[in-house]
Amino acid sequence: MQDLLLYISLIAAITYLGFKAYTIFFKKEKSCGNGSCGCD
Amino acid sequence: MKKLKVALIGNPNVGKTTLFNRLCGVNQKTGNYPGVTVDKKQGNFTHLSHSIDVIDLPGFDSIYPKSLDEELVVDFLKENSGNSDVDKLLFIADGTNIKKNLYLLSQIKDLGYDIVLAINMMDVAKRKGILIDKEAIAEEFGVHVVKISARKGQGVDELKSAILLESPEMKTDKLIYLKPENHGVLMNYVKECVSENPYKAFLNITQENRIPEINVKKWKTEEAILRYQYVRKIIDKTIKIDKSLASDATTRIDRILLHKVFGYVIFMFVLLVIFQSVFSLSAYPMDLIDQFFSWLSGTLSSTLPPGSFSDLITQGLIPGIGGVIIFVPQIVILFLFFALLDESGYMNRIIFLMDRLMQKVGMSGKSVIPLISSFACAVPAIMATRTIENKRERLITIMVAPLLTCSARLPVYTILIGLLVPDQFYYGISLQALVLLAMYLLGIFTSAIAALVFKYIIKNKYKSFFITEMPSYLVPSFKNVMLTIWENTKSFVWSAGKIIVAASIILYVLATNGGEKFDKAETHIMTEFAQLPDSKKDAMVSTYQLENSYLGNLGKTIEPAIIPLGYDWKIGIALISSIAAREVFVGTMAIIYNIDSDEEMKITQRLDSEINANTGERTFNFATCISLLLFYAFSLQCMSTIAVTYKETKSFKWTSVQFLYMTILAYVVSLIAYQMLS
Amino acid sequence: MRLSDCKTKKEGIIKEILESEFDNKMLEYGIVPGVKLIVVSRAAFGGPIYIAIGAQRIAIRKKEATHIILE
Repeated sequence: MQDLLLYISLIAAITYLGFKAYTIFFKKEKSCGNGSCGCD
Repeated sequence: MKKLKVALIGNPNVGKTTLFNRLCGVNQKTGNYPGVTVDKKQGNFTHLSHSIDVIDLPGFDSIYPKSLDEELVVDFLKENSGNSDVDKLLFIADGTNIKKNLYLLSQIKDLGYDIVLAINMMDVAKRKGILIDKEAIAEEFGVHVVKISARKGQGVDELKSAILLESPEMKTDKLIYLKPENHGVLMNYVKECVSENPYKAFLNITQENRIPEINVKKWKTEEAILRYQYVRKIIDKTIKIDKSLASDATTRIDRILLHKVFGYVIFMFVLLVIFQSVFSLSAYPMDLIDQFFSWLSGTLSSTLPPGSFSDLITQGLIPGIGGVIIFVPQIVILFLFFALLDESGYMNRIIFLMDRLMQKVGMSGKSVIPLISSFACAVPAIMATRTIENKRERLITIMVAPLLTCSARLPVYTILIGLLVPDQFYYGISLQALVLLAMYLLGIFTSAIAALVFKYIIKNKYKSFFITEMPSYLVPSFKNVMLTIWENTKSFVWSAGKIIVAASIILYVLATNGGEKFDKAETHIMTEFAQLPDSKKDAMVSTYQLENSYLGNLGKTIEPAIIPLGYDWKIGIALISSIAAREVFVGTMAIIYNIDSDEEMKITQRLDSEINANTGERTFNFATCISLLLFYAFSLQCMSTIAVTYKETKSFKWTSVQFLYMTILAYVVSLIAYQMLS
Repeated sequence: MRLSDCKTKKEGIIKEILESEFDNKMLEYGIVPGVKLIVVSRAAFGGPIYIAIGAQRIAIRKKEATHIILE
């Protein structure tokens, strides 16, 4: 049981950091939030 | 129930943020990073059962944008002119200095917006004997006018109601910005080529040179002069100043604070007070937090059922989270001063005092605000460089901003300085605070040198100029200061916290698992050192295990590269893990040494007693501490900074240049320092 | 006289703004011919000049101030 929980949190942590790195470097972020201010 | 969308605009320093905070309170979404917000902010409030969304745009001075943040606002205004995405503009003016605000208002009004004008700082204006006839202004501009004091909350409800009112009837466009002989040219163009608002067409014509036969520059110059005549006429009609009450405290204060000599002395004194406070005022609460987490960890380890997940919580997560929370007092104090500087208007004086000096190293006085905010965090600092008009000055500021001591370095410095110098006072000045100040000065000094180097590398293609408004001094608003501290501390704990928790879990798993050697650690020690007492053996088993864990192997792999700097493989692990963020260093140390030992000890004590396996001496001896301090001072161990540099420069080249020069600088300087000191 | 040569606490009326890359910017700040200004302070080492036009306080660099001609 404890090992399972540990395993789940490890996967969650790796996913989170991976996602973070992905959004920082690869995902194009809209600089204007809701896109209503003329950014394409 | 109506749902309205309102955009908040105005010149800088008219109390826009204060009003935004008044309107939306904590119902606001801000950026993810601590520090000043330069992007759009959004918030929401409900009034008379209508829901109103508010967009807070950066302050701007001109409809002809010269810097990136102004461009953001002007693009927004042009884009939304003539469509219904934004229902109303809430324009904020400073009642004590309204001329320039009305100039900008007349330009925006010409874009065909439905505007509510909030004349702010009316309490101060009244004291100065300034009488404003709001009905007359409403009549002239065709807008609703409300007098407010955002700091005192006066008139805010009236303002909310005014937003809900039907707009007054639009006056027919008067083309006051163009000489009569040119009216035909513009109206023809509007009729023939584009069916848009005439002023929007005017802006496009003058910016993109769409009609070749006209003299664009002349049109713009004439606009400025015509508009000022127009605004001055309105002001003469609507504003009366009772000279007997008029007094200009700000100008008198400035004669002292901007004095050629005393101005700089006072500035240095202000900096010293900030650093002393960050270090000494925070000591007691930090101690309490430290004790709390030790207690929590101890209690939990005795109550939770034994197992790997419980170990993760007590040895991985709690020390990791505690490592972040403990710096909350320092962050709070830092942002307290930061908010005070900004709110009082002193920040703009620093621009004035420092411009000449900054120019010498290729930057502008306006670089000072980003640079000061990078004492909090380089990420918003790099975003704040958008206010710098000149591209080269902006790029240099971005390049050197991460060299200044950000709040994430504070945890690392605090621990290392704690190991390096005793907690003693000389003439009432803490020795540790003095060393911390030295680290801050080192950052400032290095950034100046780096800027100088970049000044010679980067060619200057654009003329640099500098005009800035000096706002009136104000007593900071308590609510604003508290909100700044709250928002920033929250985002420090939250955004850094998430990374640290994730990193702690991964580190912990890597530290408690390993290959064959790791699994057979117990038998290995039992056979090799059979004659030793059992208590000694236990400690040796855990050390041996850590050494042969995945994490240990990783540290061992890079050890050859860092031995010349005076580090061992354990510090190597901390270096690797703090690539994600510097403050992970502390959590990593806590995890490594917690696993390594069974006793509950404070992290500094634990580090102090650590012995380097290679040399047999104290790991954190004088030379190593200095070398580590220097490494953390110069290296760019922060994913977020790398990302924001890339976003703001849109250049892979400059992002790599920044990362490489800082890393190489860190390595070389630490190497030299260690080799000379050991 | 040029604004850049003006001493602290001196007053003057703007006669002319010489043509430059930043003349429009100055006009937008209300630095237009005919207005009265006073030099409040000058930063050390030839830094910016701090002027007041009525209730408005503006800092400009010395280089830009050479383009402002006073009566």
